Amino acid sequence: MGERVEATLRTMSEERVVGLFRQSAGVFDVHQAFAEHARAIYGFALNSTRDSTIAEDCVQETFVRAWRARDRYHSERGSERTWLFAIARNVVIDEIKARARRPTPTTNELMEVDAPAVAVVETVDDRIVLSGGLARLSPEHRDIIVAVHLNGMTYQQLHETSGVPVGTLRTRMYYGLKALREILGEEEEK
Amino acid sequence: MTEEPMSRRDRLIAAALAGDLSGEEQREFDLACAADPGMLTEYRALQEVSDRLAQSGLDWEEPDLPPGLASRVFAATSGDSTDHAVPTRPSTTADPQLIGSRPAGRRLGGTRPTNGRRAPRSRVAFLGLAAAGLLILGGLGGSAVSALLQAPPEGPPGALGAVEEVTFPTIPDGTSFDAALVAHTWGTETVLEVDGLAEGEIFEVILVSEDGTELTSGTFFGAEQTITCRMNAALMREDVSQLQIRDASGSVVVSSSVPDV
Repeated sequence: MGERVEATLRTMSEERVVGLFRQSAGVFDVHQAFAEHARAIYGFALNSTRDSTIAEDCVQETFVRAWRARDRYHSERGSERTWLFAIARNVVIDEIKARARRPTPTTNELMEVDAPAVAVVETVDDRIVLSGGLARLSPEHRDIIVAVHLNGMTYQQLHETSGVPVGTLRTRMYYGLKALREILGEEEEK
Repeated sequence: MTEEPMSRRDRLIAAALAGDLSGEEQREFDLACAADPGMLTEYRALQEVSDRLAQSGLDWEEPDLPPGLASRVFAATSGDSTDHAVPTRPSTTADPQLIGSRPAGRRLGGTRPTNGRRAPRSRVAFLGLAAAGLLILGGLGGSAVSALLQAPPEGPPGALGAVEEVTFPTIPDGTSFDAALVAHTWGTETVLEVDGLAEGEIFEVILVSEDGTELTSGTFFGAEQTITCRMNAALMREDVSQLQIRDASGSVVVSSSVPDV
């Protein structure tokens, strides 16, 4: 058996071997999780921080924290996506708090004392919650909500650019907003 | 084609939320809400969401994943020597307090050493581990297998993925340092947990090579809270002779000579 195993391993990439091990053990697979959720988490981080480099770091930190906490993840308590977004939200909030604490150079000696960091965090908190909610939606639902409720387009304009009937767009909006409301409710329960 | 009643109701709500009802639709919507208080309740609940969106000032971008991010994530989470652990830049998976601090190490644009002898060695070592794992897979229960696969590799200093504790012989009063090095195929990771450094001051983590070359792993601010960070330098563990933390003036705060490997 040893020779056969060794021969098989030689023909497989190391990544594939690791993937097979993880699948057989039923554990949190960072490769699989990254493939399924990283883009959405990056979208959340980028739209929350407005800085692509920081957003990249947030994504990396999210997966590192998840990987370290993988023993504590139980799929029966919620989806992997929900779990990862909960971690990502903490990472992004920590980052924004840290940014607020960091001294910024000033040239005006009479400049007023900076507002407490907590106030800065509160003002951005709803944007973070909303960004997290939007990022967790399906692309179709997110697109229609962003187009109409953030960018101010009408259903008719969208119909003219996409060819999708207005009635379909309205139905999509209804279910998108319902999904977003449900996600925001989950977030606020935490 | 006649719409299903529920579908029509949903569409009227969506149109009302966007202020997109025609005059005729507005009358239909009002009548429907009057006849079905549940519809009005739902409309108001969704209106809260749409109002929040409108007031948020969000300017949503739909970005693609940056190239190289996957590699960095897998490198930071592999704990082994897989070949995908090749960051395109030295990555810093720091405490979130530090994420935005742009440690200098990440700007070094570190590339994987081209010294070809290391890759085959790591591959052989990994395959040895993988083969051992397969051989005992059948004899262990699921949880034991899981624990085996998740546990970081153990081994002497320099073993790929193994955590090597580092002790500083002297430290400033009021401070504490827990430090470790982790050898990777792409360089050396430094793991730090630090307390007591002056808040807001900048500190730099440096690896010194055997020939005296210094490589910055990154920088961080002193903070009131415990600082936990992981930093990387494009210096192979076998070439590291010292781990140092210096203050902004360049003075060495703590230093430790690490064993030859």
